[in-house]
Amino acid sequence: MLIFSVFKTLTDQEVTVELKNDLSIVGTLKSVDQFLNIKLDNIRVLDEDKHPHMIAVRNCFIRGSVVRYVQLPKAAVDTQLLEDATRRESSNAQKAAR
Amino acid sequence: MAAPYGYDSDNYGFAEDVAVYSFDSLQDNDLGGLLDEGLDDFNDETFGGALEDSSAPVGKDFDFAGSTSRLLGGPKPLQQADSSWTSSPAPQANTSRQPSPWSSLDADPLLSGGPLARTPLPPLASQQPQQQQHHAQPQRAMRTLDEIEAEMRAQQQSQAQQQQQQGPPAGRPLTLEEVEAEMLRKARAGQQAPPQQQQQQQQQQFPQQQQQLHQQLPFPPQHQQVPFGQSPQLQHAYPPPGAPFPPQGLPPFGMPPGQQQQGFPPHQGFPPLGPAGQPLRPGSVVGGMPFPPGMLPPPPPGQSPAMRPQQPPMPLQPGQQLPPNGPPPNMMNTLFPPLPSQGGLASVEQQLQYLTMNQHAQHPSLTGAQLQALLQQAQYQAAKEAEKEGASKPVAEEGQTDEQAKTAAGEQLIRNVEQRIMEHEMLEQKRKRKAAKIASMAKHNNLMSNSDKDFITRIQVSQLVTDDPYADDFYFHIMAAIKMSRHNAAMAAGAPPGMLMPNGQMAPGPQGPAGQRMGGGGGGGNRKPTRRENAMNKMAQNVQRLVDVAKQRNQKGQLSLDGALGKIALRTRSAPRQLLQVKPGSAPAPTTSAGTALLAGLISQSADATPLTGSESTAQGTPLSHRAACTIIERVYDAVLDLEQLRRIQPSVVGAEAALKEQAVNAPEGALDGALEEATKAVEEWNVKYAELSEKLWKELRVMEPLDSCVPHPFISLISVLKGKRILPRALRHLSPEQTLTLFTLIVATFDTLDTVVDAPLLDATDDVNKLSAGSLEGKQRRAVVETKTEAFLNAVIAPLMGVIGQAPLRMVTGMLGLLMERNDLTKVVQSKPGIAFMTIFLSRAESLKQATPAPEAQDLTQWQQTFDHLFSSLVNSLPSLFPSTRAVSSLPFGSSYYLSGQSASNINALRPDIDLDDEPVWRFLAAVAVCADPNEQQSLVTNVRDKVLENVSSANKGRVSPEVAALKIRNVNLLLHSLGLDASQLTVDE
Repeated sequence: MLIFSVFKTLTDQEVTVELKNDLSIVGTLKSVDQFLNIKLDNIRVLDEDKHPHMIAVRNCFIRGSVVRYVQLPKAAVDTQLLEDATRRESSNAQKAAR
Repeated sequence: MAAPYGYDSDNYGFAEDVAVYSFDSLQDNDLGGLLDEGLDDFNDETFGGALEDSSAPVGKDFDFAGSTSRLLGGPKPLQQADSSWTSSPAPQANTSRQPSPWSSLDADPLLSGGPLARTPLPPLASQQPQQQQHHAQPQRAMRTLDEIEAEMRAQQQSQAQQQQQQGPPAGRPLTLEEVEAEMLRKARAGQQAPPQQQQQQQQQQFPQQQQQLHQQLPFPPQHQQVPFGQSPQLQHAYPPPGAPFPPQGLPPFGMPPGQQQQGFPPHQGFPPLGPAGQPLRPGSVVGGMPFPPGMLPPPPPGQSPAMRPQQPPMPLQPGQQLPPNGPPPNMMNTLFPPLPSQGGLASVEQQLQYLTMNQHAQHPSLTGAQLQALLQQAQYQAAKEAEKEGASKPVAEEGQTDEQAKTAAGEQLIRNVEQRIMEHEMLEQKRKRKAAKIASMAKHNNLMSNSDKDFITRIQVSQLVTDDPYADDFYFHIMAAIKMSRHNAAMAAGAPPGMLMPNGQMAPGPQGPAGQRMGGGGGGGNRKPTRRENAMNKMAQNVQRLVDVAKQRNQKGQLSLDGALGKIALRTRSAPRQLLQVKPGSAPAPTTSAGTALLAGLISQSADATPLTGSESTAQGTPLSHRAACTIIERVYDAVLDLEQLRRIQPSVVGAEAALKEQAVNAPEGALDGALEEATKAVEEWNVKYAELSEKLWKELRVMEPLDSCVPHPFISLISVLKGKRILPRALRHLSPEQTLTLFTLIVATFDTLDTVVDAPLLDATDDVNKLSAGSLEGKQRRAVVETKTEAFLNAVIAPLMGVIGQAPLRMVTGMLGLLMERNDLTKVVQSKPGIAFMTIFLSRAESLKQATPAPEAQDLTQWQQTFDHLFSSLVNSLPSLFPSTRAVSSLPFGSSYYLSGQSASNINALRPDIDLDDEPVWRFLAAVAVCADPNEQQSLVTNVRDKVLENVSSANKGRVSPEVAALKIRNVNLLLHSLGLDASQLTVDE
């Protein structure tokens, strides 16, 4: 949920999505859902020589489960806030567990 | 000619395929017509020429049609029924010349005239007699009906002797006993069907017709039951294709024509089964197919394609009439339960029952058609019976009363049938409505309707919506608020002042990002809810129930089913599966085990505390372990987060109260008392809670622990951890000014135990030196850590400190400075960045206070001067060592003398490119000192730093360094020189 919350703030930012099949897609994050499925626009593949079939693709929908990493723009993430959110989440989880 | 070829081809078909194909090729080449037509002997019999030759086939044919129509009167209605039944117009071909699939074949001159192979032949052959028959009728139209009847009787009598039959002899009317005996026998045989019984009854009633019938159908009982209405049609449309011989008019080779002339019914003597023992139809014959599939006869107009697959089994019907309740012999009879087409009211009644029974086993439209047919048949039967009544009187006198009863029964039956039809029609209408509805919805197949989408969304949202969306979506909300405040700030910067932030409630004091967070509703409260928000609200309400259910489920967390061996873990987004299973009991940090202490010692490399025991309580004089400090800091964080949350809701709580108060002024007395009371109560609650949390925070910070209880002080231990430093400014916002001042006093009093001060010498080491040392990597990392911590400390502390000192009177500044010098190793302090920063702040504040218009009291000024003099005298001899660059040079391994002689500046710049940046605070501090100092002190100050100044200026002017660095050096020097009223440009460098 936290990550979902974070990704929601990253819409319209340029992100790099590394997939589990070693495909790395750079594109503008259009939307993300609770499963961290990702919709990208204006995409390009990092290694286009290796994946020529992706050259023509302009936008894509990525199922969340196939994502290995997402590289975020550093400026768009408030680290301190992220820490706070993490603390809140963990304390909420502890409260829920009790 | 067709017949022999048909026969031949059939034989070839059985014998070898090659011959068949040769015929095909012949036919294809239109060579068929060129063949020797020497075998024309049977042409007449095939095509009806025999009609002219002998009257016997004529009589038989005529007898066939005539007796049928006369005896039963049923063929026509039944045929219609059948046609509506199967929606095929084809059966009418035997009464009119409407083309059937096979008659169309006949129309083709090529096919009919050419050497027809087996397949088209049978229809041709079977069709022909019909045509022949119809042709014959007009030809012999001069004959009267009586004549024909007479002729027929003559024939029948002549044939009667040849006919072997199981049934009663046809030559005479049957007696009742005979009929009953027959019925019994057939019932025992198990094959017997009610239709036959009806027929028997009919025989009883209509002996003459029965006699004719038996003459006509002199063959075993199965054949007797062949419905007359159907047989011509079936014979026509569904000829037994596999039959090697044309059914009628074409005696097989070797069979004397006379036998055929004796009136074989068309379907008799020719098994309806094909050679392979299964029913064949022309189109499906493979082995002997004479023409390519493309030449297959097209279905007759109006005949549905579905009709065709249903046809093949039909040839079974002529020879094998099903008992209505018997097991269906094939699928065809299951699909189209054959209507016993025998005349007679009883038959109709039976059919009605049968239909009622089987109504659900077949297509409703079939039932409808059958019912219609039944009605017609019933009416016809009733009418005929009435007619019969008169006609048969002379013949069968004993049945008169019977017949009257039968008339009544017939009417009753008609009514029954009509009622059945009505019911059926209603059912049919219902079915059609249903079908129409399904069809209208079918266009949306595979699409999601709005309700479907809602359903899916609800499922998804039920995972997302909680009672506290703010807590669950904390990051997003805060981030949105931050972005909005940034946006507003940007707008305010470039926009007219009127467009400043709409909600201007800024917490007092410096604002971090968290401080700019308005209340949860603050961001959205001032704008109208958008459509999307409205939708979300609605959705949230809708799923509230789902959420409640989910919450209840979450409380359990597990589902155990009765009798189940395991438990089902219920996971949701908010309670996902735990990847690490840590027992809750192990979480509390403070343990006195040696392992924990060791761990803490290992971790807290920079905490300057090597605690032997980690205990939270410092009353015994033991400092906090790193781990204990971390635990406490987490509690501080919790408190701070809660406080911030309270701060966020404060505007709404307070605002609500204020609004209510305002309304209460205008509203009539007591109208809003309840609400106002509630709001006031909420505000009170908020205050209480806030105070509680502040108190908790203050306690957790442990500022009030005795100063000398341990070294370092617990609070210093807390802020020696990076995250402790980071939380400090946020925590300070929730503390009172007195608490803040106390906190800073504590920091000043224990300044040299601060980790950043303790570790400051690490910053002076150059990378080069550390590279030479054994633990270069470790040293580098440690230095990076110290740098980060120093940066964090300065960021965290300087701003709040300036806030505090900026309000402080001179006396307090003097006290602070005195405390700093008194309780700490001044050398250590001033050689650390935080120390320089602190002292710069003190000096600046003191100087500004001295020059402020309400001048401080003379006593305070004197005290300050004393303190400053003390500070200056302690520092003046070690001023150059304040500079990081100098310290860095001095820490070089080969002694400072070598480097100091000329090359040092550029060298140190090569080693530490940014060392001049590090020097800047020191220059600033020196400037502050210079401002505060009296002329004598200024003199000694200049004397002490003269080398440093000249070094900087010369290295900058000689161009040994990059222009940027040179400019920085000059600027640094000017910081001090300007405070003395000088400038770097005034200096002339001799060397």
